[in-house]
Amino acid sequence: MINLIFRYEFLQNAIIGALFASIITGIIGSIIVEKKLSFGGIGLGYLVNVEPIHTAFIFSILSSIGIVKLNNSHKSYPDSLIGIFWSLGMALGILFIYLNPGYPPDVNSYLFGDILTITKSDLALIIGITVIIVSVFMMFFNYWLAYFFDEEFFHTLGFSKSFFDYTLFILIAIAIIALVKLVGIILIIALLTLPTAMAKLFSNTFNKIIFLASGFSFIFIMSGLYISYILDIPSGASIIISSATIYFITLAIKN
Amino acid sequence: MRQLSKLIDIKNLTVKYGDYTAIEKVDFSINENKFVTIIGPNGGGKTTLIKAILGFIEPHKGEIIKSPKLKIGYVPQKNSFEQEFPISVSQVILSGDLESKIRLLHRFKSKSWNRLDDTLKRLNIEDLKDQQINELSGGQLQKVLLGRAIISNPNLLILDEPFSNIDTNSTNKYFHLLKELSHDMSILIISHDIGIITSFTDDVVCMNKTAHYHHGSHLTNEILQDTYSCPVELIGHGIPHRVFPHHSAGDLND
Repeated sequence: MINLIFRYEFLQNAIIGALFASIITGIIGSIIVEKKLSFGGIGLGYLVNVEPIHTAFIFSILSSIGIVKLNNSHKSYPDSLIGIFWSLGMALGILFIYLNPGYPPDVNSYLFGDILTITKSDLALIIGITVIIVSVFMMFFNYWLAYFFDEEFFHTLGFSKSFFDYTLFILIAIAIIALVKLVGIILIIALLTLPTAMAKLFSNTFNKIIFLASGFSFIFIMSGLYISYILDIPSGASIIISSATIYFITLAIKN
Repeated sequence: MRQLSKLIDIKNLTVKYGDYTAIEKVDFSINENKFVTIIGPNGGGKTTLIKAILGFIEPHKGEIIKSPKLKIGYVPQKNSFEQEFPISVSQVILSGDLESKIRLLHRFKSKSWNRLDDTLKRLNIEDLKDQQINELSGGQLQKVLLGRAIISNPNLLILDEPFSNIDTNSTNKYFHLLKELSHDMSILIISHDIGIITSFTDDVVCMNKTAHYHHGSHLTNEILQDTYSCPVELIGHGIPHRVFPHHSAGDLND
């Protein structure tokens, strides 16, 4: 397979994409799992089911603001609120894809992803988003930590909780834009939670969990890619199946 | 005698949630170096009052005048934070020393690390320094949250029912610790441990929608019965926080 990597640009793109996507899943996945946003945070992913990509950006950012605003004023569970946005976003996404004139829409790759079709411009987008997420996360690290642990106390220190709410949801939204090409929106939940779940088997420290989750995520994607090549099965599904298999085997050994 | 200055002056404060009045015409002030306990039934508006002081909710009427030198340290209720979050004791306590102005790539300076060591020593939890929060017992966790509140040397420490899920022995020790701290700062605490309060507190605020400020820690049966709207025998058995006053529709916050 090594020879093939040097020969085919699409494989190189897939590997570079996987590397940067792993950094994203390490950071955003750890936040989602530790902050217990699970279903909710990721639900936002369906909002990005709109082409072209800048429409997706604007739509997801506006939705993030909507979610935070509604959540703050109505005290309903963010999960149920995001669930509503989730289905609405997905419905609108599919509607837009079908309304789009020209080539027949490729809904399948949106739902299940295809890492082998990553183009140079997709790669640029994934790298750009990774840089944004890493920078925003690192620049405010101590503040994020205080906010994740106790939002109310964070507010008493004089910080704007809403600012961090919005920023977090926007980061999640753009993370999903980056990941959607790899595994598709349906499998994103697994890619964001499995590496972190695996990392938690080995560490109890937030920084370490992020680093480990990034590493595991890369291993998961590469092994999925390899299996997809060997067995000639869809890459998105094979990434998740191999991730879950590795996770459960490790869990069994650990126990 | 030196005139004690007011840290907080609450005037005619009314807070409503929609049509429901949570607290009404509350009037009292907190002076420097005072240990003040708030008692009262659920639905009595204790937490609402504290949230108004902290600025979480806007008063419907009245005002809370804060001294320019006021610096608040806050210990929240046990269920208000992520208890399973993978964060260390040091990181939690240090977060209390974050200055409200956001700085990019912020790193804690040696001043903060020294204050962390002092705080750990003061609370006698030096051995917990590198432990993770989710490994601590209820009593240890409370001390860490207290550490986070006092690391920046506040002059008013506000605690919202810090003793839920803590045994009486630990509660007693905790009160001793607070008494010690009260030499350096004022304390405003919500508590139901009426038996213990009386040996530590200077004054008591009885909250049942409106507030009655009692100087001194002696609470007569009439005061307690009035506050909790129930016979005093029940209060002695730790039931008061489950008794709702007749005119209350239940606290939206407790």
